[in-house]
Amino acid sequence: MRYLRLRTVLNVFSILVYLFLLAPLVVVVLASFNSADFLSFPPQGFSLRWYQSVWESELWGESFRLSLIIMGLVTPLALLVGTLAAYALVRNSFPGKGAITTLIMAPMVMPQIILGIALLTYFSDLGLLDSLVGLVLGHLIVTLPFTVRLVSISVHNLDPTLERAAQNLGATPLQTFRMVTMPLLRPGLVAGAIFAAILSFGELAVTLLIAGARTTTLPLRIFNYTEYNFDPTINAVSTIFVLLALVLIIGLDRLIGLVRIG
Amino acid sequence: MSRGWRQRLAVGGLLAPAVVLLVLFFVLPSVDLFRLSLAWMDPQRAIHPDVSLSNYRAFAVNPYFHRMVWGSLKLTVWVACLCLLLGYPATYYMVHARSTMYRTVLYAVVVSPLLISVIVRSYGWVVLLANNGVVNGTLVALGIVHQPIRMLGTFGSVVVATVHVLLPFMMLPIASALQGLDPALERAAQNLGATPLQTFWRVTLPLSMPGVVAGTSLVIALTLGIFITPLLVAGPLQPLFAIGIYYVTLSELNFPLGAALSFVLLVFTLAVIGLASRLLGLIHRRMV
Repeated sequence: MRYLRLRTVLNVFSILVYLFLLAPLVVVVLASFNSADFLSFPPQGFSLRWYQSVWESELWGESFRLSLIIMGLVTPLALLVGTLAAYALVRNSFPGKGAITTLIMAPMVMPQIILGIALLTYFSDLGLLDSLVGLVLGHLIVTLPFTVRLVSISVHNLDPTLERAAQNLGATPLQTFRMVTMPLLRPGLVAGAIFAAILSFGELAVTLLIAGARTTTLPLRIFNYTEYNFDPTINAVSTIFVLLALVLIIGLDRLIGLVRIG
Repeated sequence: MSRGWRQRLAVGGLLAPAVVLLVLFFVLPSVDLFRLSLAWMDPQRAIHPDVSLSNYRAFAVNPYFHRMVWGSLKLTVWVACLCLLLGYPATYYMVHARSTMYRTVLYAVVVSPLLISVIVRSYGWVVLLANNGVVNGTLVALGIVHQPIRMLGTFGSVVVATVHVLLPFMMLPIASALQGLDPALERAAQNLGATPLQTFWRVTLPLSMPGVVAGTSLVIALTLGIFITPLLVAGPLQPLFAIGIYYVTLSELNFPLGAALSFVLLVFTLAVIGLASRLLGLIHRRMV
């Protein structure tokens, strides 16, 4: 009896935690359809006008394009560099492996403000501030730990005997890679690519310090807008982020199963 | 060439791009930042590259900086404890959900914040907590309060928003620890006469401690470095270490001082993580 009551308390408490996780996202999505000119609750009426003004805005469009370009450059690079490293780290043991693993994972736990300031001073010497190249490099450092980790899961689950069997049957190393290794790694690779893409698309901590007026990415423009005024178009842009996440989460679940991402 | 050498060369070749990238754009900038922290800036804003500890001394004597260290420490304790208290039961609930479909939905709720820009998640709290926002609107409409309560800009709003942003980083490591647990162990404890509560305290919790330690360390490191979320919900005057660094570097443009503060924060972060994992390790040993 006592146990049952405890179980109920646990269930209710947990459901509240999940509602807490969802609340700010749901609220932003709902607010994007509010017709009022200012932040208001309860909402005043249903309207798509904020989506229309995002669509017609030159500035939002420019930022959207820039973020897509950076994402398009960062994703394949992070995936390539990350896959090679993951493959080497999972399949081999060698002196210094621990140190290299730590080096690759370090940007994930390094306080982001420090990473940002380090890149700010470094890039100002190299003349890479407020430049596309600088942002791509910064995003690469931020995304690499995640791609290495996700691809590692797939490499880990890849049975090496399959590759050996292919070679015993006369396949060259290149053929083995193309016809055995690659198809088996594909889910992990796609998951790694999705994570790299989405992290780059939403990155702000480092971007805020190294970007500028010529390189205002989408998250940076949201940040700039929130600093000075309550522009309801922010809700509409934010909703795009939420919907994108929804699509990707379904994709990730199909590919490697959400249960294994942690 | 021997097989061993060829293999070593292959491994080196595979790792080279990542290592070169990280050395050039992570290690060198960090080293550079440390060198900069030893330089000093005169009142005319000229940076002198001689080796001095003047920035570190400025940190040691300025009460403004002490206040922000204290603020960050307070935030870290609140956030780490709340993430653990909210995250552990919710993760347990998620991992033990009977229906696969429902479990996947819960996982999606936990993973989805990782896929949404931190700016959007923090902005959601502005919409919730503003004077004319959702929470105050509801409170006023229900007649619980007559005037909106000021929530944005308070320390409490920073705690709530930071917990929200970092909770997944606590839950995912705990989830993987709980998943890795052999269910036979829990069954065995119950067959031997342990109550469900005893089983949890004596078997499940101790065995999931590695996940708790990993999650807590990650949350601590991320809390000490977080600056976008507090900046958005509480503004640049909130006494927090990371915001102070941001302010000194970008508003006062004192790069050497910002660099020195960054290294103090880094050492501070490592010390706090070390302390926390020692503490959790101690608790863990007491349990088993």
